[in-house]
Amino acid sequence: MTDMERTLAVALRTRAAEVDDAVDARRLAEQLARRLDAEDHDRRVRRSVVAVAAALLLVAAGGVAWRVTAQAGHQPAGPSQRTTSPSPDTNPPTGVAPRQRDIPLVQRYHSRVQHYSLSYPAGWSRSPLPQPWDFPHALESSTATADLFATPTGSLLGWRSWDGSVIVQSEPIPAGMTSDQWVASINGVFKGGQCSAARERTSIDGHPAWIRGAAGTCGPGDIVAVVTSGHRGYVIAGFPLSTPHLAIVETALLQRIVASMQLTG
Amino acid sequence: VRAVPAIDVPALPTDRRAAVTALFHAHNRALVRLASLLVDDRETAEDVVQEAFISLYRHWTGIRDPGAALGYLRAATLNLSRSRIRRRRRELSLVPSELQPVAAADVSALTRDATDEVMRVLATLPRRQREVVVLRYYDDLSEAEIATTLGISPGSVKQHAHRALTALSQRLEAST
Repeated sequence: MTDMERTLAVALRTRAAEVDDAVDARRLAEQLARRLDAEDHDRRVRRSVVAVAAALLLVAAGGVAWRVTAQAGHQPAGPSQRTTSPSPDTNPPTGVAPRQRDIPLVQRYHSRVQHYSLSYPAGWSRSPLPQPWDFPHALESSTATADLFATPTGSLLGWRSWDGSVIVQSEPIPAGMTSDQWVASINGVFKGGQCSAARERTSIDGHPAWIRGAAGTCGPGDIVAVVTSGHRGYVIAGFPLSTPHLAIVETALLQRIVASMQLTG
Repeated sequence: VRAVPAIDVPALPTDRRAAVTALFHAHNRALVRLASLLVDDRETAEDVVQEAFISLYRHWTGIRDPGAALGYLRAATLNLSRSRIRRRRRELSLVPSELQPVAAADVSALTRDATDEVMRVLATLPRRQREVVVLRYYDDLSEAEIATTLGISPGSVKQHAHRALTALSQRLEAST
């Protein structure tokens, strides 16, 4: 550390200590409690408003449906009117948003750094990692260690919550290690972690893979896939988003994104 | 930062309110100190940190382990400090005051004036450089951790730190 760095560190700590002496922790805790109470109150009010609005919409929709039915019942049958029996409508109603699992994956990304490509929906953001994965930090996901594909609502206050996203990490399998040993080492970490859940054999781009739905403190619907191709190992994770007022990303969509992968390692 | 498989992390209370309160008791002071180095006064720093905790409370469904929560709080504190500074500059049209001469700082025991001077010069640095320096030399974060917190690459962190230190040295020397 240079003199300048030491001076800086001392100055910062001195100033921070001065501030610390003046902090009234009890007052701040009480203040936070009051603000959280207000937050809870606002949330209850918002929910009530939404519930009332939904009820009004239902009543209005019911009224419209009743009028349409009533008008149809009073319409006289003319000579050109068909009298065929009704058949079930196999077409989805227009104006309804496509189900998440049906959203087309229109964008394709090819990673030369991590040796794979995958498809993802329009409007999703992509943050490729700036440099190859550094294995000691292997399982800490961040924009510095993983390619991130995320629905725009996954970003809050500039902070990525990971919900509604797929991340991809890969590394060359270390010399002297077989593919199976690499997979075992990764699965060993998962087994000891909080995401332990039954895993199942599958394949990604024709390569044998392990995929697991996470449980415990990991979110329901999370998926984690481990796969190797040639001399490269990959960990792909998908995190659903279930915030109805923002967006919903289902596990089925995450699985389709993972299934679209081509591994070029 | 959310670790894909959260490994050996102490569990938080399952209740959102209890979890946020526990995090508050554990990290409030440290975050207020951090914010105070960015916004320059304690009251604003306290307010910024309160807002960061409220924001965490609102977005709790996206946070699933203590490591991620602390990362969120740190990033929110930085973002909110930044917007406070912007707002304050807009309101008061603040221009960094002209530097006053100061004696060369004694590393082992900085005088009050020297500390003030370093902090004043620090306040004249571009926002990103200042954040990097505070996270590095006050919070003792690694380059990788700073990169994650600020959402920039480790290379950028290195660049900002280097430029900040060069500017600080030059400005402090010029004022002596």
